[in-house]
Amino acid sequence: MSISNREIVSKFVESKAVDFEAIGKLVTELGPVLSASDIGYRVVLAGRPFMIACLMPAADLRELVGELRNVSAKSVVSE
Amino acid sequence: MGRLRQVIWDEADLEARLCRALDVTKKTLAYFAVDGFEDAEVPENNFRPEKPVAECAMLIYAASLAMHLPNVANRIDEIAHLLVPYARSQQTLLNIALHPSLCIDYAVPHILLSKLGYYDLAFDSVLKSSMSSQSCHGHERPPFAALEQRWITSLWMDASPGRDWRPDLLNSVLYHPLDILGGLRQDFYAFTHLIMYCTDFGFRPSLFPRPRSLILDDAQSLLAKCLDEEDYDLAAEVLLSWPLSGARWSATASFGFRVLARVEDQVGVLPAGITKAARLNKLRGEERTRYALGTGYHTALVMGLICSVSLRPGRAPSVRVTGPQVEKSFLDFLLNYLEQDQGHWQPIFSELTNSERRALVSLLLDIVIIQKCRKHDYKAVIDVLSTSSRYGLANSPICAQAAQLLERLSACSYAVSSNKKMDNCQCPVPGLLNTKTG
Repeated sequence: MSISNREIVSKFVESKAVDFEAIGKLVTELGPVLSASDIGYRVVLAGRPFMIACLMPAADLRELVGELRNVSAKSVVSE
Repeated sequence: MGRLRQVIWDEADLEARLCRALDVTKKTLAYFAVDGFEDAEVPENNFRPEKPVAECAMLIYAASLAMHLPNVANRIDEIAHLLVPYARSQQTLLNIALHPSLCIDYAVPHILLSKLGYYDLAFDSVLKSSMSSQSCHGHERPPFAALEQRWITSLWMDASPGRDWRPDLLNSVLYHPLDILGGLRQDFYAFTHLIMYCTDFGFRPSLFPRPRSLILDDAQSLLAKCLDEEDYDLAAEVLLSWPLSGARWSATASFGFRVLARVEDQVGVLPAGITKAARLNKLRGEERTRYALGTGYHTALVMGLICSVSLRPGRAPSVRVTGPQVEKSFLDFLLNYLEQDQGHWQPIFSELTNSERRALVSLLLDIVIIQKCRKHDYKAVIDVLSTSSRYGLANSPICAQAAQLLERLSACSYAVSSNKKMDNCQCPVPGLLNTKTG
């Protein structure tokens, strides 16, 4: 039987096995590598030209937040 | 205290939103059904004409259960007639003849139009011939794409899904929990699309490989991620999970719909993140409309899909956000961790009653964890996980995945520091450990 989400967290919290100082050091030292690992925003499905699916590439997060507030209603649907 | 009466979303409002999406659909066909869309500045936005043609057909197929509404019925009929020449063009027929392993992909709009009563027997005959070709199955597909094929084929053959769906279902993201914190966007779309296919856009009972409640848990955590990132294209697809599967809208899902509806009201159409205001404002005339539609039609169309399915009896979102009441002290704890400068959902959340806010604690918890993970603030993640565990509330997929992420990072930090120690030590066999010295 698979373990529930609650049990996973509970085991993790009880184990106290995570060394946060070490993780903090890792994050500080490998900051650029961690940032480069942030995949998922502009994934192109190479070789699948016939995808019916509606994969819309999301903008980078920084661009996405804020810009929407400036898009006026009329410019999108009407004209 | 008496129970709050479930107040469902106004049908006339859902109808108006659906009609708006259908109007965008008509315009989309006029612009892109022949040549698709080319964005010279951002080629990732490009799409071929088959994409909007198939998606528009899907919208009118989903909307067909609202045909009792004259405004909807008239638009569906109009769009169907607009679609026919593209769905059954000479080019499409040739493609089906030349590429039997892709024939079903090309035939999606034709099959959906046929289901709506717009038949073409000559086209069926060409498709049948291609479907019976030796090489018909000679194209490699991931499980979700294979299930897409099974779904559309089952519509064409007028057959119920069979046991042959099962192996693909068991290999899909509908069976395996989604990697919400670290996964790929294409997997999220695979998830949302599988729900469309496995319910036949709500026309059939759900054919899920896991209990519906577990799938909706994934959907709920994914929705939290989308709302935080203001990614309304994906958020709208995720929201379809509730009405398509016939489940009652959860507090988080109802709130999510309210956010999308508000954003749609403010902008005029549910916006996609890839539409850039600065660029839009520089363009004029037809070029401007082409850019706005090319980058935004899909999100508007998905909003139409939600409204289509929600117009069916018993599937509308609720107006009030109701759910189990979590202790206020935990809500206050989470609000201290929340980054409050991001997300259109936040002003809407602040308008809610205390009772509604307390019903949304699981959404808030997921969002806080997502924000802290994105900023690599893992100390905050453990604080939040420990406290939520103490309250017995750390039960979402995001909570579990964050806990396991911390475990992996801990192992990673140990391995990195071990490697460093090895680099610094004297190796007994030169070159065995330190490859740089080769």
